[in-house]
Amino acid sequence: MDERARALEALYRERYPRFLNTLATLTGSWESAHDAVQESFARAYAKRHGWRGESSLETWVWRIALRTALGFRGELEHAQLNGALDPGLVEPERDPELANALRALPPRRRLIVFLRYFADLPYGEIARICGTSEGTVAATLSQAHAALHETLTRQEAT
Amino acid sequence: MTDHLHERFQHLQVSRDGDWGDVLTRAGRRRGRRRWVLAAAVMAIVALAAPTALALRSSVVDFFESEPAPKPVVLDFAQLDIGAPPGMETEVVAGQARKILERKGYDGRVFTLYAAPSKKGGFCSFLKGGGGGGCLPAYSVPISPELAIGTIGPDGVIRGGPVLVDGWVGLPDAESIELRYEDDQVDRQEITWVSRPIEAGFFLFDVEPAHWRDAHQPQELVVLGADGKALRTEPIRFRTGRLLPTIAGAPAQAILSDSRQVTSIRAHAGRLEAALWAGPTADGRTCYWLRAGGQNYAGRCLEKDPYRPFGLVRSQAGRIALLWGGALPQDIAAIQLRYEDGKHDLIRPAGGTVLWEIRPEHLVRGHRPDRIVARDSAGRAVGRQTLPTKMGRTPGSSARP
Repeated sequence: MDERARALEALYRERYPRFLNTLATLTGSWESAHDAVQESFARAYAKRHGWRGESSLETWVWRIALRTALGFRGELEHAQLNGALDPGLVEPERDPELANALRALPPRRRLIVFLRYFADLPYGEIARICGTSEGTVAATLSQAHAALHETLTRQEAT
Repeated sequence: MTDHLHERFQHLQVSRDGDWGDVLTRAGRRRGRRRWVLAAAVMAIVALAAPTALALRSSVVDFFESEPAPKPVVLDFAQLDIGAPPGMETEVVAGQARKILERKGYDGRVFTLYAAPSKKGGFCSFLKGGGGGGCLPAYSVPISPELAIGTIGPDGVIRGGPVLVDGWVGLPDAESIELRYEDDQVDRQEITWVSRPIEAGFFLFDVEPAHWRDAHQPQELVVLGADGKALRTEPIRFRTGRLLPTIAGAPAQAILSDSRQVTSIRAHAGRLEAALWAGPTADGRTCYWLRAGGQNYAGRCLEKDPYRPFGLVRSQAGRIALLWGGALPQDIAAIQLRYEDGKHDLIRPAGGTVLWEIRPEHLVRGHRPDRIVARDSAGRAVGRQTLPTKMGRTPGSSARP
């Protein structure tokens, strides 16, 4: 097994739950998210010699994974990641207030929130995955936090 | 606020283990597709280069260059579908059957393995010399071992051979395989890879009489990569003492003597009895498989905590579809099966599980099953699972003809 294959396996073993939880917000179920993760890593494994090292291996796999999840929804895999994804909680009934608050966010902000909290990615990685700047990610998350805080506080008050 | 949010998101996450072996299997299929595109592009060169390309693996068989199967074997394949339950035919292309492996047993007996593709994808194989055959559906599996035992006495002692451990490997990096015995002895052989349309690796061990006895019997198969590292370990258990002949063809990992019929229904307008069987494995999993019309179908072994408790099985010809579930938690009182057209059925579990025939009107686009909602006795939704509406995974018979 070559070095890239070993690195991919290590990434998979360490980060599988993060990929699963994040992709589930796009595919709508744990089952289809599992399939999407498996397919994403299979694609990455098959194409590993084409990874040019311009971004980290994890960033590269995340981009493949998000496009694969798009494909699972029957949408164009070559669409812009930044605006095409419309994620949501898989089981909104487990936290209906948070689910409602998230739904009120624009899809792009929602994606960045999920990449931050489910994928546990730093701002820089999120920026590279979404093809934007780190500053934009920071600003987007700040706006998202404020909006979520406002919605959740309003819900608690009622 | 962010810490509070972090906690709420944390609470919503699930923690599960992946399956790297499955990733490699999928990657192998992708690599296989790419190889064929390349082959078409450089066809003129391939004629000279093919032997070199095939030599990349230590043991590779080019299916279309292999010796065609003799007529009696072609007939054996052709008969696979005779008497098959309605809608559960293998659709094997018997005329394309070819020899893919020949191996001498410990006593000089020759075993010859033949394979033929299926119209639905996947393939069927037939082992001449003992063991019979079986079919693998279009999707690949990491490893699918089979056991065949010549004669077993009423006391459970193996009276005669051959005793064979054979099967298929779908792990793309697999190069060799070891059969390890209870007495720590090991047999090793190279995996014989067969090109498309078969696209699988084959192995065959003829177990010597010294390993027919208790405490010396086969214990596990270990698939090895080119570097000698173990890619997958598959436990196998003989447990010949109380073999149940009625469940031959069940997943090889299942401990047959501890298996049982969980529930059964009459399907296909009452013409077909379908039963759900369950049996434990040595490593704590539970295998489930369908038995219909005297054959076993769609075996699957689930982890202790089933990740995908429900499966949809559609016959090769598409006329019958069954929904089945693994062990359901006790708090589930009913399963609501929802369809694309908004209709639903409420199914009461029997024997801690579910076996249900999808009605023909729900096998067409726009009306197919798409979601399961598990409900407790108060009617609350306690679990959901989205179903693949295409039901693309057709069952392959693991039964020997």
